[in-house]
Amino acid sequence: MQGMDADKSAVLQAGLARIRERFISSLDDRIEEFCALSERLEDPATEESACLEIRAQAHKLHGICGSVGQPRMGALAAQLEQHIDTVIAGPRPLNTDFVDELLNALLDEMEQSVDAS
Amino acid sequence: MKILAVDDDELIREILSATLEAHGYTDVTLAESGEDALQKIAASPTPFEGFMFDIQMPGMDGTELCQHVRQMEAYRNTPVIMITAMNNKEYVDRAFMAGATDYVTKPFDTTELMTRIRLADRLQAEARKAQAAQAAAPAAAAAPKPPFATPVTVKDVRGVVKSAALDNYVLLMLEQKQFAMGAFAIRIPELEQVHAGSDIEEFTYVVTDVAEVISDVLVGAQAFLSYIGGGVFVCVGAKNKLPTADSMHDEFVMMLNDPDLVYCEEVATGFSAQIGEIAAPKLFEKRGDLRFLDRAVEKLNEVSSSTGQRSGNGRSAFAA
Repeated sequence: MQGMDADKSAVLQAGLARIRERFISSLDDRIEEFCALSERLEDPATEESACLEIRAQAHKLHGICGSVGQPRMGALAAQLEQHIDTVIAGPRPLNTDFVDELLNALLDEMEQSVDAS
Repeated sequence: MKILAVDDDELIREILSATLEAHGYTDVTLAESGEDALQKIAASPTPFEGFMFDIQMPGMDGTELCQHVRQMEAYRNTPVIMITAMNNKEYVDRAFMAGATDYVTKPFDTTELMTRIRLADRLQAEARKAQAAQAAAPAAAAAPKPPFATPVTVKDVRGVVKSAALDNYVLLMLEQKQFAMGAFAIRIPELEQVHAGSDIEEFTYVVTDVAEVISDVLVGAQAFLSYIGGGVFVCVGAKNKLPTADSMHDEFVMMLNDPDLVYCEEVATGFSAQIGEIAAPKLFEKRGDLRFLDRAVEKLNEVSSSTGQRSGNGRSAFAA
């Protein structure tokens, strides 16, 4: 790595590997949270707040995934985040069909990562 | 460099901390929110020398935090690097308007991240040197007035940023390819006369007033501008929203000459304006290529030379 001696680079790589492991272990909780939000998405009374919370969680995933070796998961999270921005800016009642689809695709990817670990 | 890094994601904070430490930046404080950051700033026995703020956080976001920090006298010029995972122009614009000096995108590219940190470190070191020199000077009045070509710092005007922050903003916008960018330059020839006949404080007031008028004229264009010295301002924004020289000239000059808007106590003068045509990046230019900003100044010089005034080529001619 540029500007670092071998020892420091090894320490950094070991640190990042631990962070990657912790990320994978956090996926079960994140999946559970998304599933709970997905249920709230089906109720018109809670769909908007659910959308916003899904967006916030997707935004976090988008930010971290690339740094922990999960670029596809990051791309799916980014897609979900951007789509929710479009939905929220649009007319009411919200059309959350595609939010649901994108969320399911993201959940599949997350589950595959858990299974592969 | 003593750094405060703020992100609501614990893992991101750890990645930042591990990366910075491995590159020799061991004095790093972490905060999990804007509120937590303000508490840590208040409690810190020595000032921080650089900040990294995540733009989007629950509660107080990074932009709001940046505004708070900029209001603190000790941190008016401290480098603030925004962390963003988004390519939403509105968020980025707000961050630069709030006083951010640079940005890094998530996921982090280590080389890019460290380049930004080292740049901030260098800026901070230069600012420290300048402060020390100022403190060592026997009296402000005795200090030599910076030459006309040297930029003065314009503070608290919407959309006005330092030249380095303007470059960083343009780089981000070019990287994200969100819209076609354009730039143009404005020269106020009479500022030279104001500079010659007033002290640096008065001159800075007048430049700030002029910047405010430009900012007002460009309000619908959501543009950013910077004073690069020599009486010249460079304005940058979405090409299709920038006004042409012809369309803004008359209104701009009228506003400049409103004594309530631009007023110089020391030198009585009427103001005129030379406005260059809009320059844009060329197709063959790479994304990080800022030559179109130089071309904006060259286009201004074409206008100036036709009226008998000319000051060098490109932005470097004005650099301190």
